[in-house]
Amino acid sequence: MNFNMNMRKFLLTSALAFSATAAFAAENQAEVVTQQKSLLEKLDSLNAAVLGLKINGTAKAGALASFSSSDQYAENSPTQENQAFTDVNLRLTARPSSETMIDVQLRLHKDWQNAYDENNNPIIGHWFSYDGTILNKHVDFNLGYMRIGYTPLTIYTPQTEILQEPEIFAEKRREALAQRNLDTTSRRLLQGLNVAYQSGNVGPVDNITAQLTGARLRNTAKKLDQVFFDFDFADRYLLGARVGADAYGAHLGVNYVNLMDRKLTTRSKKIATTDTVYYDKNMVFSADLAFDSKKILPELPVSFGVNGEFAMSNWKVDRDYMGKVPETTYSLTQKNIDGKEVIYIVKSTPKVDARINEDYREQDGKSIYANLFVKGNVSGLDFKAEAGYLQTDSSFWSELASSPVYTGRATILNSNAFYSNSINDVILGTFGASSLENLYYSVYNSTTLNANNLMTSENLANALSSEDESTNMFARLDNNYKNGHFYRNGYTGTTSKKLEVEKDYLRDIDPSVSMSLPFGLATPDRKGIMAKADANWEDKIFFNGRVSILTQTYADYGKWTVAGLPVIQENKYTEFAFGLGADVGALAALDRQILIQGSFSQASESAYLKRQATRIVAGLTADVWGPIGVLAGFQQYKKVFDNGGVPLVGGTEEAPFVVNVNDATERLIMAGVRVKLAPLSYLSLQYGMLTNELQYSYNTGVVAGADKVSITKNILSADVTVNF
Amino acid sequence: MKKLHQYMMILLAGVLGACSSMSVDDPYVDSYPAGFSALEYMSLHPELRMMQYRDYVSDYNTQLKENLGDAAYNAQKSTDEANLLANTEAMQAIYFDKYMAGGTPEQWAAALQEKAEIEAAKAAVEAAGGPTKADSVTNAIAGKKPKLWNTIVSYVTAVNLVGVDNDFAVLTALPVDEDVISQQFLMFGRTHGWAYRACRPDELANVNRVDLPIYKQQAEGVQKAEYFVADTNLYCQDEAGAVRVITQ
Repeated sequence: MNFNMNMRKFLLTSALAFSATAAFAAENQAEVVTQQKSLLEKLDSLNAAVLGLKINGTAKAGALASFSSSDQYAENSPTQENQAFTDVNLRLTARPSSETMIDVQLRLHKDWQNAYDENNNPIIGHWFSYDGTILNKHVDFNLGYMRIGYTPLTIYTPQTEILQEPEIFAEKRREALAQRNLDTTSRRLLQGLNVAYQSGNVGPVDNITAQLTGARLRNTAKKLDQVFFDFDFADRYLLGARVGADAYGAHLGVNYVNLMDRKLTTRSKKIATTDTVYYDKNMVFSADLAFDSKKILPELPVSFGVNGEFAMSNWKVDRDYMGKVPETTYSLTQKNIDGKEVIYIVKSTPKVDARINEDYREQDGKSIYANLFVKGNVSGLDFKAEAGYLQTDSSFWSELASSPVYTGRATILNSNAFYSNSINDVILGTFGASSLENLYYSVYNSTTLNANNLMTSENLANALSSEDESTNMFARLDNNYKNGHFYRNGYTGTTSKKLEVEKDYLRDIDPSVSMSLPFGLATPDRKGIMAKADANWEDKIFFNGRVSILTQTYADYGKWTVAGLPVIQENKYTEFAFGLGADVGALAALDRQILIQGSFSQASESAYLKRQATRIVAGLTADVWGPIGVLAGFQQYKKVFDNGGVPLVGGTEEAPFVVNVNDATERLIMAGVRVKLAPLSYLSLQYGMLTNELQYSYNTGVVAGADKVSITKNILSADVTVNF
Repeated sequence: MKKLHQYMMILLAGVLGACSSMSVDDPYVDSYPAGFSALEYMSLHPELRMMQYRDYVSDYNTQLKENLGDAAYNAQKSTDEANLLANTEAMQAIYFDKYMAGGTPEQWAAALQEKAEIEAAKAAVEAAGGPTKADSVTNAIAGKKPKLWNTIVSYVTAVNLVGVDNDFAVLTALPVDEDVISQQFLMFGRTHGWAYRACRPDELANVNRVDLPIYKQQAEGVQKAEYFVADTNLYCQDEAGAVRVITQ
């Protein structure tokens, strides 16, 4: 720690306190606020510029107990799950100079439930980056982990939007995302190098920007032997670039994104004759345009403008498989002709095993959207309204803009429970657990690796195909000082290739991101209009409204039928949502926040699975007395599948049975008390009740009927969080 | 500064130019002696081409046999061979071809004569109602096999494409696989003292290979491959067939 810097900080803080006190005497309160703000900003920037090493972070100690009950559980099924943990996140920032910063984030996690199993508990680093603003603040760079966003059709992260989401829920969601290094912004988590240049004023041009991004994408976990759930060992890279210019309130930009699998790394490993390896290449080129009248008409209380983007994509897949190709060999041969030995050469072309590469699929597509907006501030009412048109080809594909971080369908709490009826196992295993559980709950464990969770492969040369465990496994276990992170979490930072998305049609079961735009604005095959409005009256009353009508031309219902033959239908999505919030405390001129929130949203489709998803949200965030605050939230999410339900197949290959899940009703009630123990330190006690009811019909071939599975989870949690 | 930039560019261009080369090195071509030609080598050693014909015919016939089945193939083969042997012109075309059999009219005549003698003797023995003690010479001749003729037949049938009438035309139209001819020189011919070109007039007096110690050494043969001594000379062949050292 830099002592001098601390001293300076102290002096400045005193100066700030003094000036603030002095300023209170002044008549103009607004000016005081402005002065205070600017002084605070100065302090912040000074704080940020402290050279040397700084340690920040959070420490959280807590316990969580989830009691689950269901009539469908087997008699001897466990119904309780306990988590007791101490989790310390350390953020080390080192500034060799005021321009650049090294950021390392470490996690120390102790699970008290298995404390005696561990021989040691290592620190796990989960964030490494070197960031800076250099060359007279003209160039920003990031090296290592970074969050990058370009435009909604190039690099973007589609997020779940829940209007007026109560604080108690939002906090849980942020926490679950943070465990995966994710956040709620639309920027994408990447690892690599990013450089951005800002020119500042150049003649009539306000700013010229240029940005270059290179990143390595998912595909690789471990290349050999010890394989953790990710079997693809190919390298995948991103190269992105964009340039833009701003002038007279207008912005014009050109963006380019190129993603490709590197073939050489894959080809350095053998594949079995039955394997096929796919190489994916995705290129998107876009131009974005924006205009805001604020710049040229600053005197008006209302400004209007437009923003839009046009993108062209190319997606190409080729594949390697093992086949036979003729290979010429020469062999010296001896023959006797008429008593005379002739030595000559025979050329033969036997067919030998070889990798054969062939083009598999290629598509070009276009996408365009344009929004008109009006925003302003009229007598304390801050508002923004926008309406737009979107049209995207079915052949358009932009992977880095299309992969949502929410995947869902996992069983987060009480994952050890089991059912008396195999139908229920199939439903919970494929249809998945409730989306509210996935949105708001997460379990993080640091566990010693053992024979159950250490995945190994016998075949060093071909981890892709071999399912046999390594002969080294037990040697490894004997001398195993390794801990592994184990998540039960509905979020992931990895992106999905188009082929993976096409295969994974089960993701349509949980339309929590958005039913009509599950992949954000870049969702292929959509055409329609969208509008939204947000208003905020003096931070006391909040309103949000959303409506969209979109059409999909090639919705394929056939993939859900047993035959699997395409049944192409036109599908029309209708979505609307509105939310209202009021800070009763502020309205009644009390000195505390009493925020009441609520929202309703509904999304439905006309064909395909004929889904209808309805969400009702209500919440309360209130400062009750002194350091004590009360948080509460209610959410109901109902999914109906009106086209005969979601058909899921279970059983064995010889005796399969079909289950159709027709509707799912989920409810989450959470209430808690938050006590501020000291500045930046909180004690939080929470109770949650999660119910999930799934109605289904079944046909085992012997019996057919309808039934339901209903699960209730009562969750108690207590934790102390200290931010430092 | 501008000048420096210019100089740097010139230097860069120079470095690039110096490091590049227009010539293409081909290690494959480099390992042959100067003036090597696969066709010339082949004409000195026609048996190399002969083996190409025979392998081609054998592959063709095997394929046909697989397609037709053994019985049908054998039937067709015997008819086809009988037709070919009845056609003197076709036989001679093949037999006199340098690369198919390399026979001469003299050899042809000798074979015919030997065959005729044997047949005459056989006829005489038959006329006498069986071998008689009195004419032991005739008996002996009648008991012989027409060896020379059989050799011709074996040469000719070896390149008989079953089911094809104009064998000779088909075979001569086959492109020469120069690749394997040249490879043979590299892998075998060179180390065993095979001539690779015709001798020039000034080389006609050069040492004959049979007079060199290596000739005897290689002719004797060795028990194990590692005892083999490679011939490091290059040779030409004169018109008489003598193999002479090429002096470099």
